[in-house]
Amino acid sequence: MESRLEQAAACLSPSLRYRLEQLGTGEQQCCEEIRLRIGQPLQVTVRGKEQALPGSRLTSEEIAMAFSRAAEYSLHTYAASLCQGFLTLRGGHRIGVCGQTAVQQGRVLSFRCISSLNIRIARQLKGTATPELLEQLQETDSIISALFLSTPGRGKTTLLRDIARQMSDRGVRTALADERSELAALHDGVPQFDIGQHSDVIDGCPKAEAAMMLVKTMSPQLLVLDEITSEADARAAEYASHCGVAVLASAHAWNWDDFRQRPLYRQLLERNIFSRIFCIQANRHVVRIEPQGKENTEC
Amino acid sequence: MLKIIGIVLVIGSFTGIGMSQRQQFRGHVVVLGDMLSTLDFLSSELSYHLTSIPDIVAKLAQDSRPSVAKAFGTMHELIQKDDNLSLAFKWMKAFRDCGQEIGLSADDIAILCDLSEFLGKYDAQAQQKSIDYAKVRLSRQLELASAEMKSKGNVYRTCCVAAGILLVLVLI
Repeated sequence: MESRLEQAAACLSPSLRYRLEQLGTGEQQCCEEIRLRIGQPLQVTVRGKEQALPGSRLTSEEIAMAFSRAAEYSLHTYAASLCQGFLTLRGGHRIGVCGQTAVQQGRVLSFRCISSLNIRIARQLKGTATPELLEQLQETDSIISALFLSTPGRGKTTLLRDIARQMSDRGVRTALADERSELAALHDGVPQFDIGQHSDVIDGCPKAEAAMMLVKTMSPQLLVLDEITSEADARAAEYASHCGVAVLASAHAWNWDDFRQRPLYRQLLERNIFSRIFCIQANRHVVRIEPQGKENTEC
Repeated sequence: MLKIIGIVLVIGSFTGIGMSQRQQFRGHVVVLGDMLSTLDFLSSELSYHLTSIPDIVAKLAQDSRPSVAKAFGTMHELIQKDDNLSLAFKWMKAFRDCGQEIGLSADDIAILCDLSEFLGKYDAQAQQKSIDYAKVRLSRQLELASAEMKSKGNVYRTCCVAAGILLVLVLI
């Protein structure tokens, strides 16, 4: 089996993995997701399309076992991320979890029953950050703060990781606040992705806290924050920016108009942290957005 | 001369039997102490680092104490196996397979096996409570084992030495 697919599928039972092995080599290499739903056959997403694999329909026991193996039989270890509906596997692969939740005082405590799992296969695509894009992120000797907008699945994390890797390899002290273990995917302290020679990572810690720690202790020149989703994240980016650290971040938005309409992001814009804003389009092309919101140079 | 050698050998071997019996009681006390400190380690790893159970088992498999290394080494091997068996089953199997070999009694093994119902299935606090309860039960076992070592251990040693002397007297 293709190595990344094999790593992501390690939580599945041998019989389910056997079904994946029946995929052609090309399909294995392009496989983006493995989906498990109770009462449905095992499904994979290849080139954006879901397809069912031959074999019996999945039972709740099979899904519970896959979940248990993914969580290393240790729910306490993954409790924080499970409350947000996901857990991260060795190698940076992310599993989305659905089912019946146990809620107390408006907060998700745990999943009582699991109904479906979505294993997203993380792949490192080196070279996604083009020389033109990297050029736009630098001005004379300094790095420029930039924000990348896109909807899920267009490669924000992949792009940020590649920028971090290339900047780091150029000698820029790079710090990654990797809350969801997707940028570097540390395992036993070792990054599972190539993030460059001059990178420091805090893994599994809320972005805002990690950013503060990194700025205060590692004196980075570049701070990478994947997905700004809260006021605390925005404040951390602002703090880093005030400390003279360039910030590379991403945010969920369809486009510039959608971005501007969201209250959190409006505040982010008012803080003037980011000198450049880019939008990742459906074809994964990166387009720079001018202050007036006009899409300009393709990078 | 031969008589003296014979006397020494008979008394020596009977004393040896007595000492080995006492040693068994002592071994039980030692292994219970090891298991209690292992539960302390498990508890600390869970509460402070939120370490996963397989990682804790892997660390304990490297322990310098033979009893701990044996039990958790077996468990580590079982966990590494790519099968559909649950952690609870593997935890119990490891203790049932090598519990007696390392010197645990059936009651001690049952206490440790009961833990499998909680480990990895709930938050750290709930697991902590089950570990604390297991520690209380094992501590009670330790008290009983210590008392047994003091009473029965000394009786075995004294009786065996006396039996040796008696045999020598009968033979002479």
